[in-house]
Parts: sequence; C-alpha cells; structure tokens
Amino acid sequence: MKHRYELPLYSFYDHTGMVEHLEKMARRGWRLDKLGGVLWRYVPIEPRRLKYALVYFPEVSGFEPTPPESHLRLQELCAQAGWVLAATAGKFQVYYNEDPDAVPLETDPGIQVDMIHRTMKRNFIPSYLLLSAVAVLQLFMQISELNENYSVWYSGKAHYFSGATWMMLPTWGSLLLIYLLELGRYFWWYHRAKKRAEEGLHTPSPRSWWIQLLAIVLLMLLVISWTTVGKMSGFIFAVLAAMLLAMVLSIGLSKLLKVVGVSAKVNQAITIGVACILSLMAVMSVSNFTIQSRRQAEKMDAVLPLRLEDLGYIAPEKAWEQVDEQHSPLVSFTRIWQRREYPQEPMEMDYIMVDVHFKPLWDVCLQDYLKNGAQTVDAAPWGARQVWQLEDQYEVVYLLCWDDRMVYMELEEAPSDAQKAIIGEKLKP
Amino acid sequence: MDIMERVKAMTRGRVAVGPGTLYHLLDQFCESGMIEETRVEGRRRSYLLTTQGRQALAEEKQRLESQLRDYQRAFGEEDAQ
Repeated sequence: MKHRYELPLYSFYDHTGMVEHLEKMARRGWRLDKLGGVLWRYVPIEPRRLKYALVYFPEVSGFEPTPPESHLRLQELCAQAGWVLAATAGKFQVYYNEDPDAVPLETDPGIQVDMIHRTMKRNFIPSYLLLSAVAVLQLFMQISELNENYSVWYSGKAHYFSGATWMMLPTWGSLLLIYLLELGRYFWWYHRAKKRAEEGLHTPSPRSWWIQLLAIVLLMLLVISWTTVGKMSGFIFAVLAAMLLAMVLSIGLSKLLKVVGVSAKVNQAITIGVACILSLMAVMSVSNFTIQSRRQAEKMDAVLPLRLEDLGYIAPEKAWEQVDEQHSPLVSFTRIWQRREYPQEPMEMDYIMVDVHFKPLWDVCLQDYLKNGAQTVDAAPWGARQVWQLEDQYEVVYLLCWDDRMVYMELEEAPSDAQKAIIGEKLKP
Repeated sequence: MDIMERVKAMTRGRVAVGPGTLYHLLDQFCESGMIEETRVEGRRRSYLLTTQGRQALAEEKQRLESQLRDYQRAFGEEDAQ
C-alpha cells in the first residue's frame, strides 16, 4: 500500500494545530495511520471531512509492551460515540470521527487542560529544562574559552575564530532562546487556558511550527560547525555517526523488548543503560581508531612551509614534526612544531600561521598576541610589513605581520639577517 | 444504559459528555471514592454511586437550590412584575 510520510512540526501540547492539520490532510485524501518517533505515516483514502481529536495520558510510558488498559478502556468508550482510533504514541492517542456533528471527544476544557499539563510535567517540561541547562553550560564554556588566557599554542583569539567554537556560541545562544520561548509560550497558554476553562471555554493552543523548524535548522548548523572545521572534523563526524547508530540500535532493542513482553520499567532501564554503553563504546572506538591513524600520519613527512634545515641546520637522524590546522570562514590557523635530536642538545622551532579572512578580526587577533608585552623591531630584514619581538623568559619570540597573515614564531636563538630573510620568504602569504 | 446516552437523556440533550472527558471523570470519581466499579465485561464497565458519592451529590443539589432561592429573593419580585 502506498504510504506518505511527514515530519511533524508541532509542539507536544499543540493539539489544535495537529487536529487542524490532520483534518486538512483528510480533505486531501490522506488519513493518519502511525505516529512514529520522528515521522507520521498516512494511508490514502477518498478525500472527505473527518473530525480529529487528541487525548493525553500522563501516566502512560512509551515502553509499555502492550497497549495499556487505559488506552483500551478509552478506545471502548470512544467506539460507542463513533470515534475511531487512528494512531497511538504512548502519551497520546489520535482519534477520528466520520460524523462532523459528533460530540467532541473532550467536552470539559478544564479536564482537557489538566490532562495536557500533567503530561507535559512528566515529559516536555523536564526535557526542555534539561536542554536549557545544557545550552547554558555550553554558552558558559564557549565564553570561558573566548576569555581564557592559556598558551597561544592551544587557545587565544585566532585559535578561537578558526575553529568551530565561534559558530557554536550564537547557535547555542539561539537554541537556549528557543527552549525558553517554548517553555514560556506553553506556560502562557496553560495559565490562560486554565482561566478560560473556569468559564467553560476551550482555548486553542498556539502555533509553533516556526519554532520547531528554527530548532532543526540550528541543530543542523551545530552539526555543520562541528564536522566541517579543521583536522578534527572527520573525527567529530565519525563520533556523531557512531552515536546515531547507537541510538538506532537502542530503539530497536526497546521495540524487541516490547515484543517479548518485558515490563515498561525494566524496558526503560535496559534501553537507557544499553544506549549509554553503546554510545561510550562508539566514542572510544572512534577515538582509538583516530589516535592510531594520527600516529601513523606523524611518522610520515609533513609538508612544512619552513623547516630548521632551511635555516642551515643539518638534518639529524631523529626528527619529529607535527602540523595541526583548522579553518573557518573567519580565520585559518596552522600550528607547526619541529624538534631535531642533535648529539649536543635538541633543537626546536615552532610557529603559528594565522590568516585572517574577516578583516575586523585582525586587530582582535593581533592584540591578543601582543597583550603580554612586545616591542617593534626592524621589519626590513624579514621582508614583512611589521614585526614585533614579544617578551618571553625562555625563547626568542617574534610576531611577523603581512597584509592578511600574521606568524607567531618561537626560536631558541636570535636569527641572523640571512635567516630572517629566509623565514620571511618562506612564511609570507 | 451507556453513561453518555444517559446524561443526554437526563438533560434532554442539553448536556453532552465526550468519551475522553467521561474517561477522565470516571477515573477521578473512582479515585476519590465517589463511584465504584460493580461489573467488568471485557472493556465495558459498570459503576454505582457510593455512599460518599450520594452525599456529595446531595450537597451539590443543596448548593444549587440555595443559589436558586437567593436569585428568587433578589429578582423574584421583578420577575413576577
């Protein structure tokens, strides 16, 4: 049989919106057949006018092995009044009636509002409060990262704007607003509906499809920001894919336990436990694979813009190099470490190349590097536009600047003019 | 007789109780001890008022009659005119 699938964009309590939509679908020749976890399923019918209604069940769990007694009792009562069960989704059922003048399924607005609120208290409200707390925590962590004062090698403004974090800040902020908006809209409706119910009046639920759509777009932006920036993007994408697989397996397990007849509480405990274990295993497997791959990559010759050998040092037997990079539309950040094992003592040269694509961030990144003290030096030997020597207790540290690029460089000894020219030639944009 | 039909008959069609509302009301009345289940035939159940339920019904009747008397005292003479 031909089916039609749809992604519903309704808040859990938006019974008015759902009913209106289902009645419109019936007029177009589609009747609701199944309420899936993500999608709704329809079957084709002769286009006709059907009356729909929703009933909420606060005490029912989505892990019940068989339809609970409460569902079956209501079904019997509804059948006496001509209401037919269309679909069930644990905490609510959808009914339809062919008689447009049938007595509404819920005639007492006070009882209807009370049932909706009790169901919301057990489901939607705790979930959204938890999501809001997660968003607040994420915002706090992102803002802390922006303000932290650790080594420029692992943080700093240039590093921040080249990664995924800058996208996460407005995204988490927007998600927090959405969660609070949904909660606020619900409580506004609830208090108004409760008051009007005392006068015997029903109150339509507010439309919220635009909020749901915005939340989906923002979540996609979060995933894009995590998976498309820098060397970590492949790892993050693999972790998300592995966790999605773990979630699908857990849902499958829950359905199997229902078929076997396990009680709702046991089913819930097992499913949540298995989901946590599978997610942890997924992350650890991907991490382990990534570490092995990365170790392999470190043994190979990396392509570096500037090597110690370019400055006249002989290449020893033991050499170690590492390149890390991340890119965003705002800033590109490439971090290079080199170490050479000489008989007398090891030699290191490390530098960070920062390409600022978004001009307003130039001064932000520049001042971040100069904040601990610096003095300008002659830029001519370097072939750069401007050069600072930064204050550092142990190393000789320079900041070289061209039009869109700045290079933070740590050397073990002051370079000669010839070496400065080579450095500038190799690292200029 | 089906409760929904009985309510309609008792009120001469003025009051209609939807099955969803009736379902929740029966649960609440059972929990509060106003009614009790007397028979279960498959999914169909029969209920009877308890003593507590009859008392609550009598109190509600008295409350409504008091309100009617208040109205007749305040507006009865005007109505008569």
